[in-house]
Amino acid sequence: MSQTYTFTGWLLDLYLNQEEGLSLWFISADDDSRVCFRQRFPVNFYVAGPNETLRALWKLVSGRLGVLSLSRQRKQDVFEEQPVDVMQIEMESPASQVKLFREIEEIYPDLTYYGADLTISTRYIARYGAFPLALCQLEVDENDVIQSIQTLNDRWELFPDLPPLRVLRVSPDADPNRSSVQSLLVHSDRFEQHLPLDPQGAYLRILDQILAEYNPDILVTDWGDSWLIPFLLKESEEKGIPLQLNRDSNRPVRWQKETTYFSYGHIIYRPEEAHLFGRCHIDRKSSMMWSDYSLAGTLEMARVTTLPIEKAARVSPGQGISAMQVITALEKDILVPYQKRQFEEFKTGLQLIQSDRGGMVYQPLIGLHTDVAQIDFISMYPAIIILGNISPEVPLPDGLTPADENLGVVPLTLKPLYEKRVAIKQKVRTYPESHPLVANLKERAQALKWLLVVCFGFLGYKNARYGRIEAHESVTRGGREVLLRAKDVAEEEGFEVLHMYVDALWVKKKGCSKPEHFTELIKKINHRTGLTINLDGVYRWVAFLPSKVDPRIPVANRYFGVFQSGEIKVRGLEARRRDTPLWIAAVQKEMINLLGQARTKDELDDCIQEAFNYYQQALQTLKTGLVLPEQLVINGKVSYALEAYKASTASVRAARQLQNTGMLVRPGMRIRFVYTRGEPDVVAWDLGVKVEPAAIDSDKYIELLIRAASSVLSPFGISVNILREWSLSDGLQLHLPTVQVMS
Amino acid sequence: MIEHDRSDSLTLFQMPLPPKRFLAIGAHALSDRMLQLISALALRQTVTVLDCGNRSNMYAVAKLIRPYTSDPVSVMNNIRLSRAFTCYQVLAMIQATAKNPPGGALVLLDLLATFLDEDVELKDSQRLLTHSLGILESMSHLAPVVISTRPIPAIAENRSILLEQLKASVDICWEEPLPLPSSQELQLALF
Amino acid sequence: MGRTIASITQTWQEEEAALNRFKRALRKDDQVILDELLVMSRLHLAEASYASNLYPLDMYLIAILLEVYKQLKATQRQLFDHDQHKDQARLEEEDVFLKLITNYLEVPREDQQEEKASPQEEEELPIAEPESCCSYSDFEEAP
Repeated sequence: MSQTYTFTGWLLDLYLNQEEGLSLWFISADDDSRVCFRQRFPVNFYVAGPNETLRALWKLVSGRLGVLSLSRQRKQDVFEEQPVDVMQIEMESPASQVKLFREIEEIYPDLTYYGADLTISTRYIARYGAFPLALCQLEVDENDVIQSIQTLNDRWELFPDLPPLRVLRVSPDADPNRSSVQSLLVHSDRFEQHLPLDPQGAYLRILDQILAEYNPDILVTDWGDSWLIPFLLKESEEKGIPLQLNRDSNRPVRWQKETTYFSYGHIIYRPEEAHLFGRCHIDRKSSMMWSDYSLAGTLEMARVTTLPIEKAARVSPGQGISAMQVITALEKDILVPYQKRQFEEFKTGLQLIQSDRGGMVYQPLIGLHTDVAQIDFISMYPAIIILGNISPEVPLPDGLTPADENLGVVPLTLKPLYEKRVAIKQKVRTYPESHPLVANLKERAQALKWLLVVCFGFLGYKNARYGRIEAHESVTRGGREVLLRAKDVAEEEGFEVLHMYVDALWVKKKGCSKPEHFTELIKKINHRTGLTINLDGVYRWVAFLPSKVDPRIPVANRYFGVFQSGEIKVRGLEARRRDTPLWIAAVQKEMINLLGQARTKDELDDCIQEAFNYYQQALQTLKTGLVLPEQLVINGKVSYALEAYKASTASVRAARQLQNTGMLVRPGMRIRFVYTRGEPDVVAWDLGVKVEPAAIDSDKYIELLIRAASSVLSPFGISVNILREWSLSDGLQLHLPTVQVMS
Repeated sequence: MIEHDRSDSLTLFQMPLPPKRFLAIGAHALSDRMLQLISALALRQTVTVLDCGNRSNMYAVAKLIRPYTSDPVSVMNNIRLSRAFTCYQVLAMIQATAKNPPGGALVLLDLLATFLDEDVELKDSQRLLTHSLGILESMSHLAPVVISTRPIPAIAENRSILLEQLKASVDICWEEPLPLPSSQELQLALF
Repeated sequence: MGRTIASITQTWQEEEAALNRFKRALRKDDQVILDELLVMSRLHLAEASYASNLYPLDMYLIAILLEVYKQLKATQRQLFDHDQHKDQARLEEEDVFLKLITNYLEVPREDQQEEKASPQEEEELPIAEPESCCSYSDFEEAP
């Protein structure tokens, strides 16, 4: 028997090792070294179907290379009442499992497969409980092969013992889509260096040396997928200067091809991705959620979802939820279907009308309101899923009362996630804002929030393994019931309900202006609904805006207001929209900030004046051509292939310009452009063409500015028409100082 | 032999429907016409609707039946409906329906919608469709089976074989007349 | 997986469209009133949706009745009830705006040149046609 030794460290990366199963990289807890071990990793998958076909399959695979065993089992399929008879095929390694599965699926496509397409990381955690950045204790033999592994912490710890990660940031000095890059900035916790891109390639040697000596665990880049890494690899090859990006020197960089897909009503484009071995590459420009929760949130996402760090950085939270559900199923020894076949149970036409509904979205009382409390349910839909035990394999609840005590796969998955988010939020409240832990905790809470946000949609997603439309409908039904109960309580307590939106209410009552005035109401709502509702804040004032098309018609999600804390909340206005130019968004934000200075209704008049004055100055700045073109860039999008467009929108015209230069334009791509005078009337920003301020079509931007300003001023009695009349008149010329608007 | 009904009939096919397979092809899988058909059927008897393309707007049916009944709720309850969002679900839905055959007509809305999904390989789509059509064939001996589909869009040209397969499997086919080309396109060149 | 049943907003738009011929044949004054009634019907879309009635039109008519009756009650209160519970209505729109302009023009600035303001208030402001320039659509109620 071979000698083994004990190793303690954090799991960083694991991937398929074609020779013997898996390669796993750890960060040693003893000496901070980075070590690679191997591990045999046999895996199972299952097949169900008619007996004679299974017998034929048995004969086909029996004795094949890589097949360790075949056996007959009875296992639970969530969509079947009784356990199903399956053939278990145990394979030597994940690689051989995938190969065999593809082969037999081709021959027997009508059989039902389970556990056939699971990722290695999912399988690994289900077997050993080890997830990215888990602290583990291993027994390793003299050949660096893991004999046993034990996880010392879990995914749900609030303050887990984390490794001292080495993070290296590498960024070009300019946007490579706009201008030529002259140097790279390389930055870590120990050093910062500028590397000019010299023709001899000295920067490559330096970078290679940094990678070898600093030996980063995580490489954070800008445009790493789309430009930096392809550029570096090309340069390295052409100049003959080695550049070892991977820790695993036996491997080249792995490229995942670009893709376009439809998600939650949007076409999403993901460019090609550069994945490393033994090290994680995160490209900030192609990380879906980076702007929302950066590194701390990404690592939290990886830990709780068990997705590899590189993947957690890039994919939508939906994939995270999917991975978590699969793990729950595996832990409960429930079969994981390969193809979702479950269809909707039959309904009558009337039942479809009654059930196919979403959340309740009211029409607010248009206008300006003071001393208004906004109260929100915390993660309402996940809470309903847990409270009502809503899961595809469990009888659906009657209203909010669960039909079964034993939690199904979906609520079992969500419960620890929900509890952890609540715990983090509560913890944050105990610290002052300046506390060093606050930023980190907030980012982590944000990552968890996104997982919770998507879990409901995922329940109704057609390809979700544990999705079921009836369960999805049950959640929205519960949501409507909860909101109406909250409304009932508020009205019983004498509050006027100004607005309701799915999981939030805006209420006011004479004499109630401080948070403590709403405590009793919140307690009663919590009691009546069984869910937790929170006071988001008390507004000094809030303005619910009407439709831009008809000012008499209220719109559910266009409002802005100022909390007593001074914090401003804006929804649905131009400043929140991705396609609004930065400068216009900034003007609108500043106008709202100025309005937000008003502590009382009396002060509001002065603040309205200030906001109007500010608008005037901004308007003059725009009219006199003093706004830099880069501040006026519009972030458009093309959702379809350009040939499919009958009408040529501004985004499409700009995209065609890019296409004409040979750039590939894919559905879902963001297209940046500015409006210009004459022909062409738009210029694609990523053409790299310099646009002079004089070329800007200021009339178009004036109109955008008018609309943005009118959104802010309309609750105070100034309509868009009168503002436009005034703004477009040349009757008054004033020479004003240039307004520098912070972006 | 397939009969091609070229008339612009309001109810698509002559009622009462015999036990055969009917196919209607047109833009948007002829949603409006199919909902009219479902309304006409539901006024008489139970009708099973398998919605393969998210087309079963029951509000439209409720409006259509309103002038003809004093009990719209009962008529709406004559409609037994299920939705499928992947071609795997479509097959499973058809298989389950065959196990419990409905008494009245069977209507499949926008049958090919999910079979055009790029995520499913063409050979799998074909296999699943073949299987589905086989089951529908046996069901059509007992009750009429009415299928609607849209023409294959240009972007999915490689999948037009599925439409050919579907057309070949039915007894009666109705195709929406193509719109006339615009007058600009008819403008003859002078030179 | 996407909703199958038309949304409440879509059904409202269908019912509005169904009134087009009736509206066209109305006298202009009556068209304006009809528009106001239609706006009233839009104020209770959430409730109409929750009702899940086979015929949303019935709910829109109830909503109109509700709003009309509310206005009637409010008028009655104004006529017979001297106790003002509500805040005073805001100034006329033009008055508010003129006040802003006046204040803006009257505030002295350090680097402002000495120019007499043109009698803007007396001049009729030229009306410029808004250009349909924006590529993004109106941000209506949530799905």
